[in-house]
Amino acid sequence: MESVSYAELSRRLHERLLAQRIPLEATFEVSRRCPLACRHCYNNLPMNDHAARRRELSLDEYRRIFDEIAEAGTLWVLFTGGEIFARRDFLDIYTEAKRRGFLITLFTNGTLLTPRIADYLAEWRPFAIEITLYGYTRETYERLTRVPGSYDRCHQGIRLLLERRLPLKLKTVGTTITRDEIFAMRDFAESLGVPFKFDSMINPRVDCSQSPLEVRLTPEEVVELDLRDPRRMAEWRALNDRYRTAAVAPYVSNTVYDCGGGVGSFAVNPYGEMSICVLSQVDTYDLRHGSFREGWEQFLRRVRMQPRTRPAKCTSCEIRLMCTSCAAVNELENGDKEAAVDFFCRTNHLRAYLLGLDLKPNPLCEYRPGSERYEDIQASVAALRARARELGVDLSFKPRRTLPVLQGHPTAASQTL
Amino acid sequence: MNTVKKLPCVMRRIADETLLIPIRGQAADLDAIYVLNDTAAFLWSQLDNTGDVATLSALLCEAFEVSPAQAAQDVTDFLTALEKGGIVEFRHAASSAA
Repeated sequence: MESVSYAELSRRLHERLLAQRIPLEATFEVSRRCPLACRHCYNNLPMNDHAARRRELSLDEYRRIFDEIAEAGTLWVLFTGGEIFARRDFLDIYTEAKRRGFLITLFTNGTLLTPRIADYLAEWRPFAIEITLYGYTRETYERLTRVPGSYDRCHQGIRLLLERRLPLKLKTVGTTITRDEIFAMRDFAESLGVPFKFDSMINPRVDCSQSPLEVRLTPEEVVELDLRDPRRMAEWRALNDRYRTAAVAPYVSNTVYDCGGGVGSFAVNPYGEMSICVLSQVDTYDLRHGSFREGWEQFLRRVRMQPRTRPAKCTSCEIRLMCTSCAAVNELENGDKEAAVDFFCRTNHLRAYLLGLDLKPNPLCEYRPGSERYEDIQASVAALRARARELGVDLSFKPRRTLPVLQGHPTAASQTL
Repeated sequence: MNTVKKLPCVMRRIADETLLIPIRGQAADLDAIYVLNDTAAFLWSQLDNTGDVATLSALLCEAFEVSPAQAAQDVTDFLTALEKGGIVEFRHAASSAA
């Protein structure tokens, strides 16, 4: 018998089992209902949406699905929303999952947490709980959530979890409303002794509304936030260094999806529809009328193997692995899995150029040398370099390896499909 | 004679890995997870039937064809490691009789 850290276990299982296409990770949106009405949210519905509530999976349906995914090898389960505690029986669902030995992470806004719920979680401890902060000040928080009183309820939820020493992490989303308070929120998290992260990748709503994009930062603003966060810059630099010091196999993707979705992970929406990930809304398999095994082994395998139908700039993009875009994001924003979203493409190119990467011309990509928006993006890069100098950020390249190192792409797993 | 009580855990087999996952109480807050070899998985399964340390040693002896001394040592090592993680509790003869 050996005792291994969760990080080591994760690395070990992913390395060995992704090649066998075992669904290690599951995400369950248990409800899209939420007491908040955040401007940037891609899926929230009002708490009193009775039609949505009636469609949600029952506890018995969850029991059956949990049995099936445990049998298939799922270990990590994420419960998210909407707001997970919008379901009054969420703790029953959670307990059923715990009894099957899943390592469970909870995403919540914290506003519905009560002492009773916190006590229960202290007894049936989750692997992690992540609360999203929507502002450091009450004014900003409630400007984004559009619900008076939500700031105080969130902070009460944080206190309840900390008092019970639950494994809390805090995070936020970078928007036009929150951007000036992101680092105050980071300092707040550090003062509590809990990890913090932020992300600025906003998507349209799953009902096709583009309203969240009204609060989305520009690519230049997203990268400027990187510059102000030394840890984030270090991560981008490490990823960027791969392209200079390692003999990475050229990125070639012949499939529409090139992520871990459908290879080692899947998502289930509140209504029992399984997909590659929570953002993927079109290719879904109804777990109410079919088994998980059939959905995973046949349906999602087919989805994951969908071939590209036309050449695209992403197909041979050598910085694709730095990009946070994907087919589901393309589908959500452009209605076409193969049509890259400009926001993600420009953000990725800004990061690469800022860190000094020389990118080759690509007639399909407007941000490459010789293409129509190359000069335009270089002007933004120059402005960001000036900003880096103001902030004292060193962007110079410092090689860490002297020999080329061959590293496989994550998409190698897809070759085993 | 010592006996052992299991705390709530689930043994998961994922591909060829056998994991012991605490689900309730402070043990569920561990920074690490136990990966069981065949002997440990066998012992954990047997804990459903008996908490008696001597009986566990005898069962191990029989199943894996090891000497009684080796079996006793393996059982002790296994249970001591789990006790440190808060996954089992030893009950000594005097206290269990009380």
